[in-house]
Amino acid sequence: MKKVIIIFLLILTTIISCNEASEEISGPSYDRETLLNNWYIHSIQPRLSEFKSKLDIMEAASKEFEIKKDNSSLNSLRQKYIDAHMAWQRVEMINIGKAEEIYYNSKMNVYPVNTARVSANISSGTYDFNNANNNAAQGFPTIDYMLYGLGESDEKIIEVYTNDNNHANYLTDVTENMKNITEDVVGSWETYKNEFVSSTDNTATSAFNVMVNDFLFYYEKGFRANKIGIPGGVFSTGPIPENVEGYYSRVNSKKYAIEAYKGIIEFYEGKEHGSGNYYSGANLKSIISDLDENTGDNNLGNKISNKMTIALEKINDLDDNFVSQIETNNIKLLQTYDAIQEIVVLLKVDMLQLLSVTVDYIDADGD
Amino acid sequence: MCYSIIRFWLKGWIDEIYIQPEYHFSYYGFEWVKPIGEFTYLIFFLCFLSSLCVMIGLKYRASIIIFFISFTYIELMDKTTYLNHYYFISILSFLLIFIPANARFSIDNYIDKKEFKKISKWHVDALKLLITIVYLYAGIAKINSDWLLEAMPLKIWLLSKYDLPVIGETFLQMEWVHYAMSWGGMLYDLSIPFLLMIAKTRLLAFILVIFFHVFTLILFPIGMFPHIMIFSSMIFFSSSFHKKMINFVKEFMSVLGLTIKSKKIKILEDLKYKKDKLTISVVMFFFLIQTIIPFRYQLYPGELFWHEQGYRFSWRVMLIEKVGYTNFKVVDPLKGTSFMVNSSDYLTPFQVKQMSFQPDFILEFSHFIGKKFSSEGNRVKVYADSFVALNGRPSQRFIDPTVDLYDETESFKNKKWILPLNDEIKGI
Repeated sequence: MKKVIIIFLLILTTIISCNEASEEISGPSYDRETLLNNWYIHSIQPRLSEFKSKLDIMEAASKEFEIKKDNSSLNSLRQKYIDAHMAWQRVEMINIGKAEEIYYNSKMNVYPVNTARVSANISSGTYDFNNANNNAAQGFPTIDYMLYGLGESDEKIIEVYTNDNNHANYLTDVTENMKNITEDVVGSWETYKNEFVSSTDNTATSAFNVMVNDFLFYYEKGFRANKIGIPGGVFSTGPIPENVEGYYSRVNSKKYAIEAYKGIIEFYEGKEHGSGNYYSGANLKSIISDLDENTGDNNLGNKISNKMTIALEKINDLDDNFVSQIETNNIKLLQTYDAIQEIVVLLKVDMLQLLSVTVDYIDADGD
Repeated sequence: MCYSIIRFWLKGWIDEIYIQPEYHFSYYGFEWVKPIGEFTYLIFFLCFLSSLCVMIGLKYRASIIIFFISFTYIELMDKTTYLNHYYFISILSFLLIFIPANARFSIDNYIDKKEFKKISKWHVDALKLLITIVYLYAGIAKINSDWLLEAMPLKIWLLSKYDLPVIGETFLQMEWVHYAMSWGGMLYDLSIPFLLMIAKTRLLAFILVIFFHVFTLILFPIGMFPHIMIFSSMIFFSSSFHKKMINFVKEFMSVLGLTIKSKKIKILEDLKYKKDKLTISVVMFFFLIQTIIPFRYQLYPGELFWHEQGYRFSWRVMLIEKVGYTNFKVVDPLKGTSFMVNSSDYLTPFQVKQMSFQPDFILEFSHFIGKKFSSEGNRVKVYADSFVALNGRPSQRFIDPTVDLYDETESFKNKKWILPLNDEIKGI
């Protein structure tokens, strides 16, 4: 018995010592706390604060329009709405903490707008924005509809507002609610950021995993499906132009898509919000590049970057108005979809395998 | 066993896995085994009750048969949850039907007023043989180039365990550890049954068993497997050891005031189990099947880890890390229209994950979709857009996107619509 144990230990030690000579740390060389900190400082915080200030300006403009109800205040409000909706494009993916808890995204940007529900709310005058049935009767799509879709011309639209006070009241209520819940979310980060930065475990609820999941979910659903796939008819027997984001203001659909895609690329490649400069230290791309043994264009980090550049060019090539793109040449929209889709495979298969992060998102919006 | 079912129940898994999903993946030939709504709880209860009876040795024969049937039924309901150790329990309970494990220290003794000192040697040997098969085949399966030369998939798994205290950031991040664990695991599996058999090395072997399984318990989410293997390997210990254990339990029970009036029990020397030819031949046949099944993959061309034809029921444990992404396109040939299906409308996230890289799941789900969207006189076509990555390789297309899967049928024949892996894994 003793002999066997001794022999066994001898073998074990030789195996270990032989290997020790070629010791090499192959593990991911990144510091997760730095990564989360980078995400907070360079993406989450500046994106949210820019959005909040744009939304505040929009809210002020809607108050002004409520009083004046004239052409110039309408056009000013429209401009402020587009600015805020543009800034929103970089915020939607940050669905963690308070935002996740209060269904922030579902209250801000579920489209197409449910115009029947909006009309019903306007005439009844009582509504609860926390009721999930009102998700498609609030947020940006509702603003878009109320500023562009209530009449055939600007005069007709203003007429709707001057005929009664209910319409203006609803517009202000929707805007105010958007402002309030945004304040909730932004405010929560004051305390949440410490928890966020230190949550580096590899569990389903740790910040790193949730953020990676959010990023994938946003890429696949919020961006790919909602903005391109669903209106282009990928998931239905024919295209559905009414599902284009910003359907009533029309000309902005491409602008929104490009802004959102740039937000995706900047987050992925580790660029600072605002300046667009690379920040130092870990980011999603650097981790993937480190983990993948391939180099050059075969390295997964670069592969994803290169494909994203191609996809962005394709989006750029589309008509400013996705509705007319669908009506004139939907094939081009579907080809753009395919280019975006190729990256989903790399993210959900290759990247997840490298990171060993489990996908746990469930469809919550039920489309 | 009993504990395993309670665990399952407590975690709410019955509801989540067997009752909620709209669709269940069946085993080929067992499509008729389906959850039966709320009554599924009844099956679980039966299973629980019978396992309890088996443990205390009450109506042993009937209990083990009920346990085998109910447990196997549960496993057959949805292959999404397939795990080697569930299969192990199923076949172990099948084997136990033919073995009088109630011969000693059971309630049945108390009822029948007799107890046996000895049972035929082959009863114990059969159990030993089954455990030997499990370890041996698990070890043989590890002799392949991914496992030994690349330390895959252990490398991926260990690297991701950085959040374990003490060893996570240090030990598990070193390359030699991945290789040492891969080789160690292979050598362990191949040698442990023999080390357990030889009396001299038995204690060392058992220490190794405990060490190995506790370690895997910490590292991997494999549920009850470590507990089961630790306890089953105790069968290798001599009968005197087991007597001591029984006496220990008896003493413990008497402390609790649960003395068994053993006077009434007649102690018989030998259990003269009828030399039943049928029993013997069933058990022989069982082992013959067990030794052949793991090698059935030889009948399929291509890479086993990639197409997984003949992968299950073969003690291939923890050998592959696969990530897949599979979407389905439904084409209406009459209207000329097509659309993509959102799989998560019909499947749970866990089912989507498992379906995405296993060809038989993909085929089964294609048929489900095909039936759903076909109407009288208009049979739709279903195509899979599928990408899979295996053991750290880059992703590649998995299923031939030009094949209408609704037109393909499940069988034991080779599935030609699985595209070949652009690589080779050498090994047995």
